[in-house]
Amino acid sequence: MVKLKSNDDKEFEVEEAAVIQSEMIKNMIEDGCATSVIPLPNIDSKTLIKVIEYLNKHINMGKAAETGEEDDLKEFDEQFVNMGWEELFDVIMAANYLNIHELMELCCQSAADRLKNKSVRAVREMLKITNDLTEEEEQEIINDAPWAFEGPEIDDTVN
Amino acid sequence: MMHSVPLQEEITMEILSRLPVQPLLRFKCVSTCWMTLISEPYFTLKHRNRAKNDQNSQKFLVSRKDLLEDEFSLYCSSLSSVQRIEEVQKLDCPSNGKPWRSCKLYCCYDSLVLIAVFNYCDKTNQRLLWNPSTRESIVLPDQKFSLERCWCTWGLGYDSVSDDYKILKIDLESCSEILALKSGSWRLTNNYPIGNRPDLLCTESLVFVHGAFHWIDNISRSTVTALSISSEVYTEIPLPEKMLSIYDHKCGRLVSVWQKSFVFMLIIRLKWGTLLGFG
Repeated sequence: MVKLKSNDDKEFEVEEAAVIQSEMIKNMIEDGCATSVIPLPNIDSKTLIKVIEYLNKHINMGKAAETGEEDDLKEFDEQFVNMGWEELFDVIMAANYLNIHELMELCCQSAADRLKNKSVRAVREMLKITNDLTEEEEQEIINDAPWAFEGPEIDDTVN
Repeated sequence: MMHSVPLQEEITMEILSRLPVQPLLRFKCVSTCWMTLISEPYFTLKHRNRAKNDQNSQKFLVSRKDLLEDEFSLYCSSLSSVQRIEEVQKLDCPSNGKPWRSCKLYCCYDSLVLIAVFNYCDKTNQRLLWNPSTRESIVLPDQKFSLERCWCTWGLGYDSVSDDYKILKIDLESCSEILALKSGSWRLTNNYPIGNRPDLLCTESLVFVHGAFHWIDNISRSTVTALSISSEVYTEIPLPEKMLSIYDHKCGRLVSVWQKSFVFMLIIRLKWGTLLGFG
């Protein structure tokens, strides 16, 4: 078992087979640096619980293909990313920090899918981005490809 | 607590590289940072490499003549065996607003398509390099050296050494011309060995694989000639005897390399690939 500690001082025990899906922790274990608790100063306990849930489910990815549990995993993944924006980004940041490739793929694809049809205004609001383009610059971008700003699929709602 | 937003640039890039072209062009308007990021060559490359490995971003490209309107149109659809009607998309053709009388698709590479159009109104012929996903196109300069009326065939490929797309045109007189997009003009390259004249009946376009253009020669019909896009050196690949006998039965295009080329020619990667301008 490997012990992980979140930045709000909560400790979690995870099976080594699960936790080595994180390249970062795998390297630490290989280098003999994981004998005691591993502190994760960038990850809060709420996010870490989600990450561990994912790691435990994906523990035997190879076996899933053999035993026909792929559909089960797929369903789990779909459910897993069904979370709020803030939460999703916390998991993405954690996956990036811990270097968990599959989790990064899953969450970034989910973020991309949610943004795909959004209007510019909606994206700014969702991601709390301040528009620092001048009106002329903005108009120039629109004039380059006006068709990219039109279409019934473009969604101005923020969710 | 960690700060969820604003996102680090690295993560923003991870997410944006998974988007199709249309929202990317739109999201240039989000902020200066996003505009710069989406316009960077590194991002283009990342997006292109992702699209290459994504089955969903590969499409068939088909040219079709609309019977009633006497015009050519281009359509794309998914490669899936289960075709849904909404997946067939009519493309906005690069036309300067003029209808075409005819249109010939030569070849595709990455997200770029080399086409020739014959203009309806002023009866002019143009060759265009076109990116259907960004809807950008450029008119190719006229070739300098070979005769327009001479039979010829074309190839399009990417040279990783010079980081440039190149178009090769060869004719039956052994004349080979190359257009490197960054240079913006045609130049002659080494003549191909005279015995390796391409069989134009079976060569709609040159096949570009492994950094070289390929064609079957029409005299012995026993070799494939390859021209490296970087070094511009010719090599010959002998065809196995078994394939020659297939060729004799007029099924030359079904020979493995050609069969692949057929799919190759039709597949475009619709997600990205900035069309390089001249200069």
